[in-house]
Amino acid sequence: MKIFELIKNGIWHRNPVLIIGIGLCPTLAVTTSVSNALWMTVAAMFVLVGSNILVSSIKRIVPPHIRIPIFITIIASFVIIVELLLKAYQPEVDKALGIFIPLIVVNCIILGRAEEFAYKNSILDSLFDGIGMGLGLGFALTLLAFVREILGANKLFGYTFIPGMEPSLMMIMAPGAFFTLAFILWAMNAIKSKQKK
Amino acid sequence: MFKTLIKPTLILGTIGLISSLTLSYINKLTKPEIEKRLQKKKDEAYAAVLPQQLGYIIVEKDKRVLIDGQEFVYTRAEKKDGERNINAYAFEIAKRGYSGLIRSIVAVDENMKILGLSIIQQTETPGLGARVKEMISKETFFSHFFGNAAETAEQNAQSWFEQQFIGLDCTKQIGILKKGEFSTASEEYKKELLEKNSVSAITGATITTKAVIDSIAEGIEKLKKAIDQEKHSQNAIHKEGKTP
Repeated sequence: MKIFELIKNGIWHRNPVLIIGIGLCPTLAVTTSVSNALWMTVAAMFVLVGSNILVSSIKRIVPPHIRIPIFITIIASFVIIVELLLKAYQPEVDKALGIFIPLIVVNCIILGRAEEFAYKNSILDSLFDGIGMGLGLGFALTLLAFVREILGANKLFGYTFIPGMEPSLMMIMAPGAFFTLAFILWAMNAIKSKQKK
Repeated sequence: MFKTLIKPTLILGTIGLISSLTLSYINKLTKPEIEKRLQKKKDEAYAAVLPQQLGYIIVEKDKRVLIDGQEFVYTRAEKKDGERNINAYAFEIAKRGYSGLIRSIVAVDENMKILGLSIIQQTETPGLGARVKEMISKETFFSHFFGNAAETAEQNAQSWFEQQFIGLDCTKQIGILKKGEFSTASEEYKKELLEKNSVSAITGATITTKAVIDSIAEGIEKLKKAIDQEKHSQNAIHKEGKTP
């Protein structure tokens, strides 16, 4: 039952973006379209799961005082693997996401999970924590991108949504991301406080 | 000593070694594919900027000349117009946009009028500057997924941003008009753009638009010098030929 709990934690109770509030840079930057958000999720999840498993499997031989450089080396390797694979087999995605794929290295969700969870827990738990957190990130990204793509570009998955509607430029720029995020956080907190009662 | 210095060094070194070995393997695996795609993109770009219906045939591909100490690569194409040969030139240009280099291939005719432009590499902001590669599509989300409209956009290799450069005169400064985008422009607006030798800026990404225009101007300068050099060297050969 713990597996289910871990995944639920990642998506809802300890959602990295919406509850813990980390990894906001790519969240705000790539959520201009749903397909970008989904590909970002796939890339980040691959790195997250990979680094979680690896960190957790070598946790006994890593001396505590050099653990951060080791985590970064592992994460960076996974990110470069993702980048090369995307460049070779999904060049369109690589072009659309651009700099934000290499920037996964400094995404605090991944380093945060390595430090907070994988370094202290078993390999299997770390694997499912990675999947859960990845899905949580994906949930937040997709929600944001869905709103922003429709309002900001009048599109969904790259196709015109309502013919003739003038999109609001602000929604595709950074302020639109902040506004949307604020509304989603508000909705999230409203639901949570209701649940508590 | 061993615990605080040697052991951590060994562990960090080992992990670094393993990761670099893995990465070099992945790199070896993906490199041919990446290069193939880049070459294909370049070939497609050349085909897009020198379309077949214009009748130009590439004569000299990837000529390299030194301009002000920097290498400049250009391709010369020719077409027959009665007695005369009309030249056209295609070359690669690059300039920093909002985030990173914007590389494109541009083709001009003898009078420095743009025949075509194709952006081959850019890392601009998705949804803003990256729209330089946006295609005009009449297809809507609903028509795509629910199939209630059969009208599919015609296949066009060039984005609207690239298309609007065709026919502009590079001997004059190319301007930017901010009265709306080319993709939704009326016929009069398109005429006005051509008359004023201008392009329409991408909303929210004027820096990107400007970078492309500036890179064209820089490229044209180099091209002119390259053509001059070629003429000089040809003249020199002629003179040498005449002297006994």
